Amino acid sequence: MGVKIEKIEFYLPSDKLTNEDLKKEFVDFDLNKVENKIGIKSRHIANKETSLDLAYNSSLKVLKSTKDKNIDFILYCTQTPDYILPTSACILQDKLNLKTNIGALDFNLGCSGYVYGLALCKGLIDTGIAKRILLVTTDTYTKYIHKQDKGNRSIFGDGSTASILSYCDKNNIKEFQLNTDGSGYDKLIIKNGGSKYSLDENSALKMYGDNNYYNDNCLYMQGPDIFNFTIKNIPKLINDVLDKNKMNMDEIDYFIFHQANKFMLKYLMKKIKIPKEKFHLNLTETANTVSSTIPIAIKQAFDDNKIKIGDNVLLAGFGVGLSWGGTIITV
Amino acid sequence: MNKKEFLIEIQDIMLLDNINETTAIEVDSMASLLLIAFLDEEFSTSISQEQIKSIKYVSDIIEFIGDENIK
Repeated sequence: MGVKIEKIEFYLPSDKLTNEDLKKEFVDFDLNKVENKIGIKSRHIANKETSLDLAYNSSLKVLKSTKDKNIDFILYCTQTPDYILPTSACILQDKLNLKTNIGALDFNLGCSGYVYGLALCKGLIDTGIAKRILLVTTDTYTKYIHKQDKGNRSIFGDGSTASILSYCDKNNIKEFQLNTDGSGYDKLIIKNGGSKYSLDENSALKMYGDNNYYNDNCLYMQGPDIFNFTIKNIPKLINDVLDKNKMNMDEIDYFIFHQANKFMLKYLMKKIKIPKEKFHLNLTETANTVSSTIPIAIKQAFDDNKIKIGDNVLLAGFGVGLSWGGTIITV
Repeated sequence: MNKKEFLIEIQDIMLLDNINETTAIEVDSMASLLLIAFLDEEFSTSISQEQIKSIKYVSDIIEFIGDENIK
């Protein structure tokens, strides 16, 4: 008894924000640094569309490509839902015209979300609760970034992915290692707008880093501390995932990590001693799309023949929460 | 790593020339990431954002690492 990823599709909003656009707004914006060190040239921005709009489009794509609307569960990963309530997955069920005798739920995770989503799918399918699941990742972080926060505006982009997970005889999604450290909850946070702190029209403007500005209604990220968390925990995560699956580095054909930024990824590649040709690095046109980077990367790698049927691919997601996790999939 | 090699690394990270222990430095966001990576790789130590904020001179980094760790 096992689970496989049947198909992945993604959808990116049509509006783009290029480095040249940012340079026009910020005289001190360093085009070379963002392109060469961070590895991003442009990002897609959901100006008019919401997370649910993006999710609808990615889901429609994947359902059309498989020509099979027989879904019995929707798992919907987002941190930028259209409403506090109701559950976005319920609205998506209706918009997609799916049958009503299915399960649907949202879960709130960021960059580890896809790996956690796969774990949930495996649990639901292994226990017979579901047979064919639509796993959606969708976020519009850019709606929550302050206009004067050039750092985060250069890093994040919007996007959505939809994957179909289904029952199969072979165990194509192997064992997971999932981790959590809530002590770092304020390293990446939108403080206001929940039930603890209301949105505040008069929220004070604050400066951080290289003349970046934000207020507590907006997204704030302590970049250096997130980097510290990553380089401390991800090498161990990779070892733990390999140990859990009784595999070694040589048995992994390709490594796909959350595409956070080029500098971080290259440092992890070096520290973990992953050969360059086995390591995915591609966020030039999409930027950091949070929970969508890993499924986008899987599709890119497959379409570009970097991975093929039968390959073992190690996935690692990490970020806001703090939350991190990994698994190995057989393509 | 000896002190000369250390200073060359810091020079590259901060994009400065001819630095010494008394050189004043300003650690921008990119330099922060480079410094974190350098300290992790060479000294197996991590430096927080708050600690980075308090760095004013090259000597502050040496003090953080511990003078005895640079030959």
